[in-house]
Amino acid sequence: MSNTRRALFRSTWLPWALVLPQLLIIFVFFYWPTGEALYWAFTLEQPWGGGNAWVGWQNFVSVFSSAGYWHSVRISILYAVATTVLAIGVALLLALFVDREVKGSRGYRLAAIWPYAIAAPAIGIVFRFVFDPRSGVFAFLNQASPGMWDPTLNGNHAMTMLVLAGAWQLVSYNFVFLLAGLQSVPRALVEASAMDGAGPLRRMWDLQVPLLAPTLFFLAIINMTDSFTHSFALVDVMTSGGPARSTDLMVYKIYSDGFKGLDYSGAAAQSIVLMLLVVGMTFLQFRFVERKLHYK
Amino acid sequence: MVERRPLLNLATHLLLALGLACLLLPLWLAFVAATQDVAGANAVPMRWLPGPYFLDNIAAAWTRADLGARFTTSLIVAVGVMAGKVLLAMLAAFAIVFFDWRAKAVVFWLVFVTLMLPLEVRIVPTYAVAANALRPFQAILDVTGLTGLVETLSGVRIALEWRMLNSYTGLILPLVATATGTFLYRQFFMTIPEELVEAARMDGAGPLRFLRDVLLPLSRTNMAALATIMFVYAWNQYLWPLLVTTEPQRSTVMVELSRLVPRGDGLPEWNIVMAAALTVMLPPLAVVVLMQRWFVRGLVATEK
Amino acid sequence: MAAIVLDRVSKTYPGAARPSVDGVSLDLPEGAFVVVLGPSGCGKSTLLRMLAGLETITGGEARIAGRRVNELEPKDRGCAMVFQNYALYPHMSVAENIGYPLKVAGVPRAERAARVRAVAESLALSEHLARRPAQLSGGQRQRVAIGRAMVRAPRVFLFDEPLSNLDATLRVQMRAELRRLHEKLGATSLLVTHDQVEAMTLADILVVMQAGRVEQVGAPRAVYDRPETRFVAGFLGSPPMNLMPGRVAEGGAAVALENGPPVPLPGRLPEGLPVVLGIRPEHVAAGGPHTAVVEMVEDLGSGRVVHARMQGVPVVLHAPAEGRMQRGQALHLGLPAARLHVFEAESGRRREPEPLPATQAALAG
Repeated sequence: MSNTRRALFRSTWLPWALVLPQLLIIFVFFYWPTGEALYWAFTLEQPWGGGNAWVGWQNFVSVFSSAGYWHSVRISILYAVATTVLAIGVALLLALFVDREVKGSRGYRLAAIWPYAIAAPAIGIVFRFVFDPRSGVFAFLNQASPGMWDPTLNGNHAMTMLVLAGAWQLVSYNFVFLLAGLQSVPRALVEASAMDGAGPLRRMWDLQVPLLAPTLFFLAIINMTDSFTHSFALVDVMTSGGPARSTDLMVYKIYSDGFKGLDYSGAAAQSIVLMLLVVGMTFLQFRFVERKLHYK
Repeated sequence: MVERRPLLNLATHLLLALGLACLLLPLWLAFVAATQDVAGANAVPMRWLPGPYFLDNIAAAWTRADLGARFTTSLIVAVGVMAGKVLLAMLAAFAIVFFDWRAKAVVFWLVFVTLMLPLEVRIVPTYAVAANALRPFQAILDVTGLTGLVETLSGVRIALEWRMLNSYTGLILPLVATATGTFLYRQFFMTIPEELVEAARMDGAGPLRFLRDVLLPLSRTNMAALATIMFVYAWNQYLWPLLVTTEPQRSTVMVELSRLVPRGDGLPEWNIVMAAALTVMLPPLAVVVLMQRWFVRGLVATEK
Repeated sequence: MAAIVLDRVSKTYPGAARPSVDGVSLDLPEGAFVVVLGPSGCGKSTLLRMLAGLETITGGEARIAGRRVNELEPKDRGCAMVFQNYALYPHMSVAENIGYPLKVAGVPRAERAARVRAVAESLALSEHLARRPAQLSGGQRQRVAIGRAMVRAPRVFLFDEPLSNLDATLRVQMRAELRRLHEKLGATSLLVTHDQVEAMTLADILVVMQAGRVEQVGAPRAVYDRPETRFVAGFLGSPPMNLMPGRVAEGGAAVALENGPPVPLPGRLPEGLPVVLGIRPEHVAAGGPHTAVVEMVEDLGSGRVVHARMQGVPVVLHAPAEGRMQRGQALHLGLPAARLHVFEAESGRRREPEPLPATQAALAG
């Protein structure tokens, strides 16, 4: 943070007083719990009381040697990648065409932004209904041949449903950024390429999409991070991790191991792994901020 | 620019209409279901056109999920979180940008790092803290030996406790810290020309006066943008309310909504569940539609 | 009594190798219009801001009306400031902008309104009181900024390059207006600028700064006519003074340039002293012992500026609007002794030749 401002107020106590509320909350609800998670990750609660005993990496070892955990990691990555690709693809298509500013594009734009306002649990329940094997859109398949579509029994079906709901949630967010990105492409550039004889579709591919590359990269990171962390609500209302753990994403596993299985140490070790993942993604995102400057 | 592409324009309309239809289809189906009776909602093949039972289903959902009380709770939480975030973000950014202050880089980083600590990754210990918000301080006293010292000296055992479960404080306070909001304000404050600060100082205004008379009015649009996003964010919270409210009559609409669907194999009354889902979606949707301009601006600005 | 006294005032920024303002001492009388002139980066703005209380003084002492102000807050120093980009509060109306210092000071609403009205009246802003700064022209914004400074009736006005954001015509108008206001208000004004025309036309007292130090202080005319250093000589005047290196010769009575006949001095200097000879373009005489070739002619309408090469040394001179003057033309030029300025080559200080004994002076005359 380079701050070369000269005109600053001076006071020894006032700035502290101003940031104190924020710092207190951060300390109590962010840093302390994180510290505690670290502590739990390296200790084990004794069965007959007597506090926690230091066990080193043992919690991590048992987490990493469990097939269930690696399964969870695999499907989390699958979920994150699938959701991200789908959400960015759809949003990009919508943004490119809304940016053409045909008649009524304002209406399209508003409609594409709406879904952002809709809560994960609400849309999760809606998707659960829409894909319900007995009353959803595919229920007729089951009448023809039972089991052709059943996310409550078939893991792949459940994951598909989850990915669709997850992507649905992210489309609006991506759309807003991509449209903003498109609108910041200098008009002169578009006009120049039109003078060069490039038609609208060609311009999209040759000019607009390459110029959006930084935004696309940034959105990919944000979507992945979001899919790793904020997928909890969707999983909880749609599948509860089932059937047969086929949608037991990392976040949900931390929750169920911690609160349902009461394995605090195991859950804490998993939390630390997920946290490192988020930290890594955030650093990637900051590389993006540096790159973004190139185009400006 | 003169560009006549009637065919492409038609294709554009078709593509956008199709894309948005797909996007909005689930909501339409939910609406249709919310207008049917139980049999209609569970009919195979699915019904695509609305039936006559919409108001009945809304009424049923309203009483069954006690939505009146839940709405009040959610509204208090959402407004509380929103106001808290806007205020804390402004104060912190003000301190970081406008003071000649040694610790400001450290404070900035302390706030920044919280971005990497989403609730989901520190969920179990955060719950423990909510059960007693003074737990960190108690632990510090214990570890430093102060508890023991005070006990031997005065005979009183220090036991700090502040239970936050099932309270508004518990629902709101952990959510009001905001790195994003602090950045948004910091970004905006850095665009204020420094001569304005100097002019205010020459005019005799101290820091708080400057904040009130100059910064506050100038940051109105930023405030609206941030408030819109934060309201939506707070209203749509699920995990935290789920944990903090162990008593159903204390929970928010989102938690209550999820309870309408049976966990087991029982067939839910989809018509009523969908009616409830639509009702619950409404407030943030209204905010986004009405405040579209600020909302979009805020969304883009918070990520810069 | 002196309004402003600076006693060896210095400013060294943390981590900087050299001070930005280096031991400046000034003694400025009440009611004077003082202009600090210098190239950008010479420390003139820093000096002004230290006086305003926007920068801390790291060495020496500043006194306003006899009171040490080093530790005082800006608002307690009795100074008002007009900023280069006006620094108007964008969300306040003209009336609110002008009245803001009074509001902060807790002046009752009615009195505030009356004083704002009076100030607006004197600045011809009465019709615009309800407008926002964004709705005003550059000149009007400038006047609002001045109004905000005036309303507190300060003892000292500080202007930080106040005219540099205006276009040329407006700048001339506002310059006159500033001077008029100064006469009317009778306060001490301190203006910082890099524009020498502004400096020459506005100042009662001109302070020329360079590299954090004061080069010369005096009435504008005196500074122009008798620059104390080679820097002042070259900085003040447009086109600038001709400066030609040479060495004192002929027993101290003349300066030998690189080529051409020696230039007689109005007095005597030590033989062999390396000097820089200066003469203003308007003082270069047509007709004389020096030969020159015209390289370029700039027509200003009222006259012409001729760039020539005199025995290999570039020379700029004024020529009347009429008459033949073109590229390649040969000229004969004279450098009148009474119009010469002599600076020591090494120190850059002005060196006044010793007057000749009366008899010789008569002979030379």
